[in-house]
Amino acid sequence: MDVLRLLRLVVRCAPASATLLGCVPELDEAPQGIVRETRVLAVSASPAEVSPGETVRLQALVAPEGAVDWSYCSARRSLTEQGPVDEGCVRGRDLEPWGSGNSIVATVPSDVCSKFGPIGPPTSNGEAAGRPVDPDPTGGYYAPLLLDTEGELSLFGLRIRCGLVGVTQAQAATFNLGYLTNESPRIHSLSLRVAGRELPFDEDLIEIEPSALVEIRVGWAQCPAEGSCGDDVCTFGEDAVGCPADCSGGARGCTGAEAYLHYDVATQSLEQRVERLRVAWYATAGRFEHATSGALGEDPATTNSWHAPSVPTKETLWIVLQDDRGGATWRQLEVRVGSEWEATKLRE
Amino acid sequence: MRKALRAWLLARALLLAVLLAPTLRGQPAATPSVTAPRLETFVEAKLPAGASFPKANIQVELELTLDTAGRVSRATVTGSAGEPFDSAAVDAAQRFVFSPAEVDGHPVSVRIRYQYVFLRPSPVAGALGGVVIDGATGEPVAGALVSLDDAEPVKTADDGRFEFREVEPGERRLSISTPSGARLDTLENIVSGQRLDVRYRLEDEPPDDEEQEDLVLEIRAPKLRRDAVSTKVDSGEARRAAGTQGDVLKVIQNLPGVGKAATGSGEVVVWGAAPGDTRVYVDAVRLPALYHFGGLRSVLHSRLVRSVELVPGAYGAPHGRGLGGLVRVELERPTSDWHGAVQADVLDASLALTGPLADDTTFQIAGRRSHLRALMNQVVSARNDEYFTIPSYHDGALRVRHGLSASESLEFGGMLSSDSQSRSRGSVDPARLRFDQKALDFQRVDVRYVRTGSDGELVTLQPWLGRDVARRSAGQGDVQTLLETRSWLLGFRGEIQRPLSAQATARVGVDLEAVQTRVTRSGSAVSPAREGDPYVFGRAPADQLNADEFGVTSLSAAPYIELEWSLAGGALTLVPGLRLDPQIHSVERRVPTDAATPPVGAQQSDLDLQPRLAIEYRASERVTFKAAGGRYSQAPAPEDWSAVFGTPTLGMAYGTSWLAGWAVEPLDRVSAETTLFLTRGRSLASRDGSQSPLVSRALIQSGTSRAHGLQLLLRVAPRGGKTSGWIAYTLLRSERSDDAGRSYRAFDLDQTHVLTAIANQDLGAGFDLGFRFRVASGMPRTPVVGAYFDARRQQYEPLLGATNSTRLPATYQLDARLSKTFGLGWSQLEVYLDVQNVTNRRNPEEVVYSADYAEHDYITGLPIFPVLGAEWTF
Repeated sequence: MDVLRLLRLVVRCAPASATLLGCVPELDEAPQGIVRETRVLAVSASPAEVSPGETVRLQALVAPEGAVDWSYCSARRSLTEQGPVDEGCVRGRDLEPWGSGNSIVATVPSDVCSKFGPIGPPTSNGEAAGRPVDPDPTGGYYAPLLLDTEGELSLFGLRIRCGLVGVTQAQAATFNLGYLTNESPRIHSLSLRVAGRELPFDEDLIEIEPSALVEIRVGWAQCPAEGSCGDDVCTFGEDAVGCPADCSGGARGCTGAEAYLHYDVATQSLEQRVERLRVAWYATAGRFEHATSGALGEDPATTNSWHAPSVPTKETLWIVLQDDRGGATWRQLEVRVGSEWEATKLRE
Repeated sequence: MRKALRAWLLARALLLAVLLAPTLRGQPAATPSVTAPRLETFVEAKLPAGASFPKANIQVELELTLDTAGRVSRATVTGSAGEPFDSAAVDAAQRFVFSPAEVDGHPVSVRIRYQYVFLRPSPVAGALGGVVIDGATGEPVAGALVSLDDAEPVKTADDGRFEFREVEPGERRLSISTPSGARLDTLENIVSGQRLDVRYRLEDEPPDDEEQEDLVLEIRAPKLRRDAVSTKVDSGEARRAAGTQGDVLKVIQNLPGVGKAATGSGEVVVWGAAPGDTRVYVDAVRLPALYHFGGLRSVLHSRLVRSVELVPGAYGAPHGRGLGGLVRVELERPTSDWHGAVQADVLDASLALTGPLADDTTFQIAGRRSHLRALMNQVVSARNDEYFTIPSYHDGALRVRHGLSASESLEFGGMLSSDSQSRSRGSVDPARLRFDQKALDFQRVDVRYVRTGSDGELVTLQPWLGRDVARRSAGQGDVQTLLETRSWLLGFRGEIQRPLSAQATARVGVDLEAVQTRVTRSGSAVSPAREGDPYVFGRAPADQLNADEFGVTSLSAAPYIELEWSLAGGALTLVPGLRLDPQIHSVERRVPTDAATPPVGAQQSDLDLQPRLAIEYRASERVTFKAAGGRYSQAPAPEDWSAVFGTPTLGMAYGTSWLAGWAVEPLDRVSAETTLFLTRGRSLASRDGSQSPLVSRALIQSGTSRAHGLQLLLRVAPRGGKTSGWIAYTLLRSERSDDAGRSYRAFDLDQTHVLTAIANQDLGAGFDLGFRFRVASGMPRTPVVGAYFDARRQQYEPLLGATNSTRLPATYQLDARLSKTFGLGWSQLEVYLDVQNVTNRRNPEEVVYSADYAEHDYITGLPIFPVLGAEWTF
């Protein structure tokens, strides 16, 4: 008996998880990269991190285009919810309208840190304390916002700044002084190549031949690990007292992968971390090799490939750059597929 | 079957002297006609339970005064034997009735001497029956001489069967010699009141080696009556079952009442109970798992297993601490003859050896190591390696047995098991790198002392020590979950089983277990998913994280008593039992770890009295009715006492289990059993569903469970026949309510129908063929009714319907096993091919969704999976 052949047969199936042995079907792993109907692709908040009672400007990236109704979900997620928000809000309950339009300005509720942050919900006299919400891996807390775009629902977590609870006074002081509010990232560089050749584009318009494979590279700023006073960037280790030139008069954070102060609940200590940046790729047609990608090495950039449609058409690409503290930015490209001029030029 | 204890008394009346009444005086000197009194009504003296006999025969000399009607007007002791014999003899004699003494035809009052003799009751006998099989042909051997100790040998019948009734309990030497010259000498342990059924397969001795004895391949252990419904399978029958790859303990998956676990999960789902609610014991030692990861193998080498028994519920007082079923594995004892086995197949390789170490000292050792992962690595590309790995495992056991005397033995043992499995999936997006790892290592050491008294008393003492380390971690990007428990376990079971009378046997014992666990947990409070969570396979875990590390100590020392009481001439058996289960739990932290607050501990205690009762009524030789019930309790899992992820003040969960059924044996080897069952659970831990749970109260204890159904078993026993197997069917409805007032939903592992058919056929010439066919309803799942997009995490989230309101499609699977045994002189070689999923059916095991939840498909079970292997035994 050919044991190796049998093994190869079995190899097609494998543990689908640590508790399940089976054969995983082939499903489209990245359908979200193709925009087939109006939907929200990303939301940007300015500032990217807000305190209770502060005003924030919110902007949604709606593709291809459409209006957005914004609502604040005032219900806490129970411990039986596996998802990121109370499912009642998704079904239309406990929603407070915040406005309509792709961009709105809103004021963050003053009790947001007790509902969605580390301060437990208020209790009556004699009752035990309420359970605070757990932070995300970056130590952040988020107020849930529901965006309704022509019936398509999206969720956005607005990062709120609540400070630390349950730490020593020294840790609280260090954190309050050293934690720098998140700065949304920016796309520092964008390049497109077809068949190894740089593709020129002006005013975010490119032209390629059908079925072309476009390699897209997105770069962002290289943030210093330690701040240098006077570089016009208020970064980790700098504050308004030690470096007023960089840090007074509003935060001027780095628009790349920032370093930030983080409280580790497991070790109960403060530590420095660096943001992770990632790009989500969208198009009205064609196919991306990856739905999202991030920097895998030291290089502050990421790449992806887009397979253009095989027929002449006009499509749109969206490149959404996010940091893992809730900041986001994006860029939109128009693509003409099938331009004779461009095709001829590329063949040369 | 255990026969009722027969205590019997023999009375003898000795008329030593007749003293004539005064009415005789003054009569003529003619010889009077004297008629001695004759005992007409004998009354058996009643001795108190447990009365000990200093010698075999106890005599009490009495003087009885009889009136003219023959009644005993006075009884006095003239020759004492001490208490309680004197009183018992007098009490009995006063109720004797004699025919009157007569003189010349006239009744007279007389005084007589009477010697009341108490004979020491025989120990409650056991029975030994069996069949002798020709190992080469598989045919029963007629005319083989079978002797037990020094008794006269009996000859096996045409079907190879023999039987010894009324066998004195204890270790007995059995000798078999076949007409063709094959011979076997072995020791069998006869247990009071129990019948031992044994199947011996002998082969002719090799002509050039007269020293060789042949093999005991299959042992059918005595059936116990302590549980009303249990299914016990001997190792030989289990090993031949298709789909088990020769692994004895895997046969559990095919028994009635057992649900189909997800392929590769290795879980045992009994009567709709959570896998963790079913306890696994090897002798008295509790194990954390029965199977290695993937369910490919059990954690115990098959050559160490004498029998495996599943009690799905309503078990007796000796066991507790679990709301589910009970799996009892009885170990094979080391033998004084050398036996061994070497096995290898696609999955793993193993070795087992047993033999003498010194006089009265024997040993057995076994080990196994998987090599499937290494084989896979030879044929799988590096890219595929990222997507899966195969479970890796090894296990081993060593036991040394020393016979202290003919009726006492001491056994030292240890075992270990190790499992690891990991899987990772790469991505160009670090936030979508996925991994999933788990590991389980455990070790056990124990000492087992057994004494079998000639009066039927059986004493078992078994202390044990264990170490469990379980680790499960998973993650996507920075959202990682870790759950690690490191436990030290100390256990002890001491039990005395003793006949009390002809009708009653008592079993008294204590079941102790102390566990100290260190729990390290980090990640989302909702991951890993609990039973009842609206779980969707492949869904990214919530990214709200926390961490906790704490210790918890649990102690329980449960005394129990159980009485087996035969009534109506043995037709009716009552087994009432009582178990007192005290529990103490101490948790290091009552509130979450906080840099600003010192830790404060919490302690919980519980005392639960748990009555158990089993009733069996044998309406005829072939029809038996059964019923049983009991109360049970179970402590929460250690991780549930977390101040962050659970509730440190969680108490015990309680449950009841009831069953009723009947069994018929229409033919000698054919039996059919039907059992209706009902279980209830309360105070089950479940998540707090409120939007504002309190600190250290992530779990509440308001959950309830209910399960009911029936199981059927039609079985053809292998005794002497060429065909064996069974059909097991379970109809089940298992439901949970997570909080008071909430409606019931289907239990995560509820399966309405499970049908398993096992058939083994001895084809002759060393060939065995087996099939297993299994049909099972799909397990409940929570439907995805929509989806929304999380713009912050750039992923879709499902919108769910009612929890567990849909089901996976049903599964059908056919497995086959063909083996051929070759005689190799003093040894034999078995080559087997075990093929799972012969029809290559794509059975849905889990539903999986596309990233936007718009499409779904099914993860299917393994395709046709042949395992070719060989085992050499001697």
